[in-house]
Amino acid sequence: MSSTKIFLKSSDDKTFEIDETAARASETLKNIIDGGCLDGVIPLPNVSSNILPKVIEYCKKHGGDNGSSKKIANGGVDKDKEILPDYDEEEDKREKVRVDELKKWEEEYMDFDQQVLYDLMLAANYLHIKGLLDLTVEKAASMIRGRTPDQIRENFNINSDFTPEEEEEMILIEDEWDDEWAFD
Amino acid sequence: MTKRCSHCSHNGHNSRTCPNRGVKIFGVRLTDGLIRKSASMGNLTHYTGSNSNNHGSPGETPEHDAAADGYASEDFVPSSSSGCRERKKGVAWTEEEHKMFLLGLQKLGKGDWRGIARNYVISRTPTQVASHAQKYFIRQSNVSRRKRRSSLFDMISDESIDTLPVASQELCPVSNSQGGTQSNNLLTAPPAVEEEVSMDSTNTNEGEATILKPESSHCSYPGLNSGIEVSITPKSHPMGQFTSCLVSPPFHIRKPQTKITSSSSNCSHGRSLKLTDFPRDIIFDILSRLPADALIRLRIVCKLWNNLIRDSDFIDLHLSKWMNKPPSHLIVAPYRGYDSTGYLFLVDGIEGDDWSSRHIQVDCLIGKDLLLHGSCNGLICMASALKSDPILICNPITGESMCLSRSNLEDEIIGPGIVYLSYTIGFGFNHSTKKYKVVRLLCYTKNYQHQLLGEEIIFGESSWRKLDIPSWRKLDIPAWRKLDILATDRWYDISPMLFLNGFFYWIGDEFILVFDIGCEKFCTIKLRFLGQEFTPALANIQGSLALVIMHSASNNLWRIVGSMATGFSLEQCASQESKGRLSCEVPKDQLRCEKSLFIPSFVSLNDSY
Repeated sequence: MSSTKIFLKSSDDKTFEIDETAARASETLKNIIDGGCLDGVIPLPNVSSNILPKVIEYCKKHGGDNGSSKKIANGGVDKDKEILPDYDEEEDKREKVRVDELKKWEEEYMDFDQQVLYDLMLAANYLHIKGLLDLTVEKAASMIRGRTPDQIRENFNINSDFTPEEEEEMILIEDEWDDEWAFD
Repeated sequence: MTKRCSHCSHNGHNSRTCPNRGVKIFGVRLTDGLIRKSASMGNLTHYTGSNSNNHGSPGETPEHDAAADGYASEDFVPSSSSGCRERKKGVAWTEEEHKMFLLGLQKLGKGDWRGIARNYVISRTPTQVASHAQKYFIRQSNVSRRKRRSSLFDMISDESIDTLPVASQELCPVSNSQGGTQSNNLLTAPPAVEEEVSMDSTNTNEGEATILKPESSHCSYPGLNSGIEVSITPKSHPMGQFTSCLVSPPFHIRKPQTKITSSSSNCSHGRSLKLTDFPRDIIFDILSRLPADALIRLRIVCKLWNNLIRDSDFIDLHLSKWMNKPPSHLIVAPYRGYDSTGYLFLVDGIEGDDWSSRHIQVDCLIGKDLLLHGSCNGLICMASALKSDPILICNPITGESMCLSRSNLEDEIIGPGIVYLSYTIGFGFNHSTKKYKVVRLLCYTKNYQHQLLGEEIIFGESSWRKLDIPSWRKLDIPAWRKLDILATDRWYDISPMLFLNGFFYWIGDEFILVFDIGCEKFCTIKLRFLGQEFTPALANIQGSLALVIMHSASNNLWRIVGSMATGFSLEQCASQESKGRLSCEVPKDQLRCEKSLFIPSFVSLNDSY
């Protein structure tokens, strides 16, 4: 499907092209397009050229299909399988295949390191791409799940700003909890 | 393993749990007197001690018996289901088991505890393996921080030495692998670009200490750059030319499997973006996805996280996210003998007859024999089994608690002719006023007539208000019940109240009493078909009111449909539905425990006023 091309300029002055339909996956871009302020290149001062292609890749997959991206995002996030009774089996099956395929794509898509994750999260936030934000945030949350505070500090490069005394007191609280939570 | 207290030099506890120092729990320092008097306080000390029993040798702890006693409570509750896993036997891991564990860890990787238990440490359950793994990793990560006695956990596999500081590896990819990735999967970059990249690197190196703010995020990923970017700046190229210069499909050069890694040579902790520098919304979003009982342990990470769970916006966000998930099933540990342990159980997985539960100790419940009467937004409402006053409201996750004002209704009616007295308490939340409300029904018999009194209190109010219960109040007790009455004591078990979608429901002998939390009006639904052989109970079946009729043979679920205007009727729930419900959320023999469906939250009692 051919559609209008839109050009995006990254923070470091590199330009990328994207289909208008794909760009609409971003609330921010959608508003710019609909607002008629489209004047050649859209500058994105908060997104670097390292991340923008990744964002565009996501938009291409989900562009022009806001409803589904939302659905997928929820499906990806909500691991508690509460399957509502669905009577249209044929439709159900097709939907399932589609969801499975998208999940697989997302898995591959999300295979990157922590720094990229941060940048992608910020880009998704800035561009208001709900599905992408959901994906990245969920990934960050999964990096916290089941970890000890020490591991988290190390993993996320957080320095404890508690005094040793404060920390000792807080550890007491920690001790009160059972340790079953490592079992995921 | 015996702990020696650095504070008072006694064994059996450490400085944090030292009774001479006083214990601070959930921010409240308990006084010395309280500790000495309270028998259950001892349990807390043992609890810390018994924690170490799991990986130390149990025999060394002098208070071992008491400690094991403290743990025994956990076995109590799951006993209602036959197939529940046994745990907390407190048998220390042998060296052989630990070796097998390490082997399994190496082969199957972190997280596959089930696999490790099944194939390597066959003498342990997956939960035990997970718990062991957790202690092992804590030990590893703390190895430099705290000096400790040597233990089994110091024995690590060669592999794990390399892989343990997972975090730092994730942050700083090893340059070797980076090189491989580049050459394999990316197109050769033009020399000009390479130069540009290396300049970038130098710059970042110089500014190593500065933390990159989101706005100025300019991290370079040379590998990615060289393959994908269109290295034309619009400045030097007029628009027309620019379009034609675009390299056509630039976005699929990278194979999907390619792992994007941040630039290798200059990556250090100092220059990377920090999670803590992120916009509040994003941090909120991330952390609100974690269950409250896990998150509260992470308060210690830094002040920001600690303050977060007191932030009312965060509390609301967290609650709203977890409202949509199936609630955890909460069980109050029944008291053993003369003492209540103050343990609550969060049952968060039921597969068939197999439960997985965590137990949490709630300080304000220690030493009290309390029954659970209801749960709402992560708050629980409890009262003594023997007296309806005082009512305790508590958030077991944060440990906050408060007592509601006493009511003198019970004293008013006690007098000659009262045969028995019993009460039920409903606990609900009014979404339009954002207030919590507790409703209490007192049921007693005077001259063989049922009498029912009701009262309510809204959080923040100082006194109870009497409720006007409709006219059926003087109901003759069926003859078959009279014998019961004579046989029973003053106390008689009446059915629990159910709060659902803004209404309190309570089932009497031949009616259901409905109370609207908003307009405070009662109405009744008559039940004509019920005979004396049934024991009906109310249940919340996927958000709608249902009647559970417990036959000796089977449970029957009937959904109550209709309205006041049209009348009500019963609809039998599909067996599939009820089965799913029973196995997913309520254990079969706990059907009456609707009140204990619980959403762990940070909801604060102070905010609810």
